[in-house]
Amino acid sequence: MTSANDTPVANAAPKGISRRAFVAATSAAALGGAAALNATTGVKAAAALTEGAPLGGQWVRTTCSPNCTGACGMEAWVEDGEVRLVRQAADYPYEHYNPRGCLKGLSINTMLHGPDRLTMPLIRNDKGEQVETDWDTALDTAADKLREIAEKYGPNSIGVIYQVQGTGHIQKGALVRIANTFGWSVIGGYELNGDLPMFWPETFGCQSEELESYCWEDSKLTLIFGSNIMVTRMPDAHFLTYSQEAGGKVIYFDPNYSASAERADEWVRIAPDSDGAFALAMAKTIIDEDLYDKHFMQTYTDSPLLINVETGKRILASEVQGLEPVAGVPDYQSSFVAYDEAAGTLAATSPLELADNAFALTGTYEVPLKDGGTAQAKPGFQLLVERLEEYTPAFAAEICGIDADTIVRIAREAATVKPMHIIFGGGTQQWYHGDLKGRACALVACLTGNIGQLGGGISTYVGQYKTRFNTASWMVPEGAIKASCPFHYWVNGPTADMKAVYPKDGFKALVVGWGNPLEQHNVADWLRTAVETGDLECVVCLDFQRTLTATSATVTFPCASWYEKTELTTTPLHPYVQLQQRIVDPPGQAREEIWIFTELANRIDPSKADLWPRFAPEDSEKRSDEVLALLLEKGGPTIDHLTPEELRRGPGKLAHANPGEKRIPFWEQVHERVPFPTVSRPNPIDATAKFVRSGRIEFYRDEDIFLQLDEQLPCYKPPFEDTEYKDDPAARELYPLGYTTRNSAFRVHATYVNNPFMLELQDNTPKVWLNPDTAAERGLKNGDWVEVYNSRGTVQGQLIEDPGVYPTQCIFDQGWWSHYDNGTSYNSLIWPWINPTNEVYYIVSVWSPNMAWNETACNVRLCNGGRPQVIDDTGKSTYEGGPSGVSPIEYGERV
Amino acid sequence: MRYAMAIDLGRCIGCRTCAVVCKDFNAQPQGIWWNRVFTSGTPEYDVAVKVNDQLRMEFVPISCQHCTDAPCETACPTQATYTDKDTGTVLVDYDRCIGCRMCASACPYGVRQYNWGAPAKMVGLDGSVYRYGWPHEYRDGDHLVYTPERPEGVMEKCTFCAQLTSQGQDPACCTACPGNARIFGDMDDADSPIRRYLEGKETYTLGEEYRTEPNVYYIAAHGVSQVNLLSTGAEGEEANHG
Repeated sequence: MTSANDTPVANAAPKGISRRAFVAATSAAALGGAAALNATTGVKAAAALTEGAPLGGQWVRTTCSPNCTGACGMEAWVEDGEVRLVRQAADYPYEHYNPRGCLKGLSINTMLHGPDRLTMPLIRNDKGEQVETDWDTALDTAADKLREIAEKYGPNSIGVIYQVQGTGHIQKGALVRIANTFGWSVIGGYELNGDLPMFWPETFGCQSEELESYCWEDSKLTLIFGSNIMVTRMPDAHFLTYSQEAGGKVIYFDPNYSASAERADEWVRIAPDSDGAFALAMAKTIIDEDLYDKHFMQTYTDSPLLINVETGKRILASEVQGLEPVAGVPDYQSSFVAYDEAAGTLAATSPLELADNAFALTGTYEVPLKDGGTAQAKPGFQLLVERLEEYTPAFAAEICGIDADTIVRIAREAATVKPMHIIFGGGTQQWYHGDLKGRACALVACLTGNIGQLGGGISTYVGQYKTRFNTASWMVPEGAIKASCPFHYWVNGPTADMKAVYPKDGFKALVVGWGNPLEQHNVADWLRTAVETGDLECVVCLDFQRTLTATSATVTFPCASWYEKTELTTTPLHPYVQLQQRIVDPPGQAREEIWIFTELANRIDPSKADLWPRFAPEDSEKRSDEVLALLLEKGGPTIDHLTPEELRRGPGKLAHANPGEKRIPFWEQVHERVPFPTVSRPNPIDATAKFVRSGRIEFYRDEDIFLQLDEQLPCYKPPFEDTEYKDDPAARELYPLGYTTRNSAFRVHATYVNNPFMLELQDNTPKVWLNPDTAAERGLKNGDWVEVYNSRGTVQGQLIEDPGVYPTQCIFDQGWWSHYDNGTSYNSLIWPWINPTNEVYYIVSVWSPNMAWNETACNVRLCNGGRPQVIDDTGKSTYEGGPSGVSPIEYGERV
Repeated sequence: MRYAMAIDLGRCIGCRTCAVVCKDFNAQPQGIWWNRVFTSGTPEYDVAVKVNDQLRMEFVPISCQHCTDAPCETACPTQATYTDKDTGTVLVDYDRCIGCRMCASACPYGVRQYNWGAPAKMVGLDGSVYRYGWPHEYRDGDHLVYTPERPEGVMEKCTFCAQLTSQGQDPACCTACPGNARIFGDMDDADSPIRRYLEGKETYTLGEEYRTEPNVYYIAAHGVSQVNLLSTGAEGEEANHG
């Protein structure tokens, strides 16, 4: 008999057992149990996987960190230079984080060494055909083109799109560094992807703040608005389940049924885009029933600030007769006015502190002005109460398509059960008026005093690009030229109110890292046309998979995957800093990005050699290690306690300010009375503090455009009226359905689309979901091949009748490559509408026009006689020797 | 000793991570899935199903139930399918399997997966074959119960990851479940993780009418209160359980 004890199973047995430790009393007990199993079994142990392993018989740890931003610790086992198996590392010190990783990351091995892997540099020959080439030719071609374009049109005509920064600071950071070296325009992924929750800068003055997912288990009530956590945050989803097991409750708001509705305690089927009306009616109920936290509103929000009723503007202390503004206020903040009920006088408010006060929240006040006049003024809270008069539960119930009692019941629960946490999802946010809904939900979180409490507050988990430490030491070189411009302007052209700098001749080149904009970005068709017509003169692509962008680019560089390089990752979902490590060599000619950008910089301009010291490709790991050490050393107090050696061993935890295990957003503001906002790295605080000049959470915005649009306070505005129907009144009849391109369980955006296991799980077929009634109205039935269309584009798929889909909605799972879908693109229907409130300020990826994916009207019709198109050319597997007529696909059922 | 698995449906999010790691770790060829996650009442994924007057999406992961009284074993004419007496695991000896598929007919759970012909190879780099999964064959005594290269025309199914459990590790689906919904252990040992997890919990097994005495135990999910004033189907019923 052989047991694990005398077989060299390098740390496998204890690890395999210990990740189950949460169900056992202790991990020691579990381990004892395992040993007993082996002692008594007659089963012969399998040949240990460590035998003959090329890397010293170890499972090697890395971090799976694509654009889901989940950052899951993984281990891979290697044979013959290829990864054969992937498993979760499950080594997080906080046991409930284990295991972390989903079906996609765990089957990445099929793609690392798959037929779509890029292994050679690609350029276009004289005939315009893409051909394989050597590195020197590819690098020189790219360098020459980019230099020419910069000289002709200016360096900011070169746009840069890169995958979210938190997913990689060294290699991806190198693209930011080269953009800053030459003054290329960084196109913010946050706004491009619709992931910029504009209510955050509008209300809290920061890019975003959110609970790390392990705080979810501490919530007693979780309200989820349009965030399909169970599908889009798989490694974190169990923390909601754990909250339920601990007696907490989860209420899920969504027009459509989903896995997240199934796991919730309650599903509230509200009409699409009506979340704001629901939240405003909750707020009204909470105020009317005196269930709100007056101290919180007085101390931390702009509720007491007096507004000039005539102008709609906040009154500055400097304007008021007999009032001295608070001294020492910097330019980016202001001293406003409140009425002090204790003193019976007007008072200048200080943006420098958040002190307890006796400021009035309601009433009307006469304010003597220095110009001799008198202003009628009301506190912001008074105006809020007046604004909310309209939003009775009955009024909102009509908009939401539910009954008023439900709103009242949930409002009372939200006000009394603590801690209460609101998850504000992409399904709710990615609308033209998404910011108004966010402001309404933030209001509920504040009225109930949940901000700054463990397990309480409001979070958004779309995208997540938040930078968690200072990265300037690497990404901002000496003499940096910083430029940026949102993609929205590229498509729409410059607007009168834009604050970003538009390149004088528009965009002429695109450098894309780890992204596939010709498929995946809004208006992908528009980009494809720009490439075809030559309006976009040059596309440089860095990727490890053969995407449409890679095959359409002027120059394509084959890159290393996250199993083939050293990279530093963080995520807002957990507090651990982790490394990606080189487990296998990049195949063929694929190389690390840090070497590619170093070479590119030197070849564009040899005078940049000091900023970009050259090294041989085989020294890329050494160079990455130097940058890693630099980033940690100069990263500031959240990270500078960590060393490369520690991170080579496993996850290292970021430091936070509050006491206790878990970081609490706004803890310093609420408990140490540090004024708002929190910092939005990499921007200095003075760049963003002007968003909340009072130093408080602001629900009242008095910039002209907000007043003009009557959005100075949160309100409800219906979908499509300011976009589709305004653009084309006929759209109301022609395109009566809302088009939702939701995230799939089987992809992270378009990544993993060519994973053969994922394709099998979807019957190799793109699908379109409609309510059975909606399908019947169009004479469509389950299994029909259909086309979703509007005036801008079309996408095809096989119809699935789903009673869980709201009757006015059409759903397509985003991320399908167009060559899997008859060449059609789901993004061809979308338009990047610009909401002018998003243009009031401009800081890339903080306050900027945001993508409203869901603000798309469409219709559905039969296509190709209804005959389904099943992918059979994926190159994923060959099917040898099967008898004819036997389906190679057993999963699910072909309709 | 009796190996068993518990699946807590209250924790299952239907993500299919268990199915995918099962496939990857056990080198299952195209078309073969030892472990599948169904949504009760539909062959599709991400579809709601009317249950009474409510919408539901009830996930049910199903793999071999490792029945104590296994009909597949009784049906097998060559004793290729057998129960490992040390652990109670139902295994298939690929050397003995003649591909008659009697076992598949006998199994009430539809979990047996048959290799019609030579299994497909996965395409790798530059036209090569990419090999994935546990790279070595595993024999239980003389029985070949796992090999990454499937013989032509054999029946296969879940082995509780015999190559892992023999080393004292849990099956891949149990260690990988991001929801920690799958618990493995020895039902004969009161201190085992599965016994501790099941303590005080109500369980059921699939197809109790077949009297197969499965060793996979399910814990039912909680209901979902629904506020849904829309009709959930043609009959136009209202579902309002707010």
